[in-house]
Amino acid sequence: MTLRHLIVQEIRHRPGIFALGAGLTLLATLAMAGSLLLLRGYDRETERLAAAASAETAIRMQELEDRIRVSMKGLGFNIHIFPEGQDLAEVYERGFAVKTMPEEYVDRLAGSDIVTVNHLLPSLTRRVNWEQAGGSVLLVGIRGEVPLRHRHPLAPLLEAVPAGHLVLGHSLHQRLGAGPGETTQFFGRAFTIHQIHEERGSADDLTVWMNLSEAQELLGMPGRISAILALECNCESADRIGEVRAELLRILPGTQIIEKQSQALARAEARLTAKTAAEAQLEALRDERARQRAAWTGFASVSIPLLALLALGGIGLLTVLNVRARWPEIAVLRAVGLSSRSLLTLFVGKALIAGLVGSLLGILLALLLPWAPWLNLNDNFRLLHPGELAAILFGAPLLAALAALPPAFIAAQQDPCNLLRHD
Amino acid sequence: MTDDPAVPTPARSRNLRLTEIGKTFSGPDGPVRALQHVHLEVEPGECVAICGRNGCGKTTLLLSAGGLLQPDSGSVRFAGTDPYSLPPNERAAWRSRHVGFVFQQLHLIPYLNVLENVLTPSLAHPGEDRSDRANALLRFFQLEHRIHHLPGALSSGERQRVGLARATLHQPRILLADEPTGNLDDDASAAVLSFCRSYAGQGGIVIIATHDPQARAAATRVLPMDRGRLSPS
Repeated sequence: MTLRHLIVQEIRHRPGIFALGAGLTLLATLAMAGSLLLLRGYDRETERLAAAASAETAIRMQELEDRIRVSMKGLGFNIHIFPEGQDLAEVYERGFAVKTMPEEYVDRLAGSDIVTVNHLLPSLTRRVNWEQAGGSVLLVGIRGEVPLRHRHPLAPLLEAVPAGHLVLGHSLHQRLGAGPGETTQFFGRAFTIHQIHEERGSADDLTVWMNLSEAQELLGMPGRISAILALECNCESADRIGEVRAELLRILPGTQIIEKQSQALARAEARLTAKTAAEAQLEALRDERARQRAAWTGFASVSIPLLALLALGGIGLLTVLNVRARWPEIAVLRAVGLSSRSLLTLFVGKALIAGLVGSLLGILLALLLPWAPWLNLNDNFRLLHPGELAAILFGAPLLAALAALPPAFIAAQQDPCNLLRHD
Repeated sequence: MTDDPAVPTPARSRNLRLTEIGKTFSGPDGPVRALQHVHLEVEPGECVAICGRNGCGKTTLLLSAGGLLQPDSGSVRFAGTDPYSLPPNERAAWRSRHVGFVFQQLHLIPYLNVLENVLTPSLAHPGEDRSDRANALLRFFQLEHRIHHLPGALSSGERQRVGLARATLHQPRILLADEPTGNLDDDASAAVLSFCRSYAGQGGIVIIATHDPQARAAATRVLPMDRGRLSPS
């Protein structure tokens, strides 16, 4: 005959009280383990959604890139054609080519069977000093669009500046204080202001445009141009520059071409805008999930301790009821010589077993949660770490035993004579 | 230890001595003096019957004698030891070694079978196996066919015998029985009293609280009790 046997027999005799104690522990354990599991599952789902959104963004960005390329291809793109031997770094630095090429090049192109170029705009650009306009300005001599002879004639994209006229950038207009129709002195000759450009915020504001022939004459460069701007080029392949270059070099050997930066920038800006929007969308998703998680965590941080306290209180109350129901038994056990420590063991041991059974069942149920399809935990019970499982498994019975301790202590300290004397 | 169930552990001239015992309880109508100047000395081999009306203090006297209820005054001594001078757990150990109780209501543990109930005192002696002694007692009391039955399935006489068997499992030198024949028929009473007499005859100290004439006849000494006072025999 042992205390363990007595505990087991008493549990079998009063299974209801034992089941209630185990049930309370089960609820508290299930709530704790289940909350951990669900929150971790929620976090994992958030990461999965974020990863999926990122992947989708990447795919959409690629699609966008492709669409932009297609659009650009459909719309054409613009290139500059520079003379042979021109240092392109110098072009980027000065804003124009120092070397020149024959104006005849543009006519050769216009008369060729070139298909990758649509509009041709020859120009001669030089930096000159214009005292009246306050100093250094860019002089651009333009001829207007040179039509491609094998194409149907279309309205020119750019008209030539009429002879004897100037087109002024916005800053020059302000410096000169003169408007269209007025006359101004340039290189010792009188020119009529043909047009004033709106402010562009670029070197154009300090640029003066004039008829190409007059510019060649003023600069002493008859029949020379420094660049040809080719607008709305069309290409079949993705390697547009390569395609244009191949065709141009066949007609104008030695020339160099670069793509006008604005097109690339537009594409990059479009990409950046799309990417920013996608990232904002992803951040919004994360924020929303984080808010939801914080709400759940807040609820769990209140409800789980409350449930644990209720379970502990319930176990304590059940122990009180058990002590009261077993008062004659306690008296007899004390009378036959059982120590108060043994009596304490009797009640605390029972609570410990109830706690262990409850926590074991609670954890088993929690581990089954991932198989509930509506929780979307994807059958993964490894979201609970072994250390946490062990802490819950052994912590819950210890707390149950702690809850049973006060009534058990009172029972162990009671004088059995109070009952036996009234027999 | 002897194989005879009705034999207590041998003892050399060890008397149970109660000297000037007094015990007062507070009641709704004022203090109740349950024991007043009680003096009692019982030698091994004696079977003493304490007789008196209900509420005269018989049970209080047994509980005080058995180390369960500390008197307000006077002393209890057995083999040179005052159990009330011991700390509670040591006093419990003292009881488990020296005293066997048969309670009026028996208080058999309802979820333990007959054999387990008899073995209950061995809980105070972990590691000791008293199964043989318990089985011998149950055979002696003709309960061997009931050993796996719960108390609820037993008759009053059977329960009383289980109570006696439990009280004598460790062969205590002092057997205290509170109305052991209270609800029994004549034959069952005779068997119980015969056991008590036999236990005393083998060197035990037996004190029976009773108002049963049959018990008085079986005792070696009868002490009337009235309002907490013992009258000499």
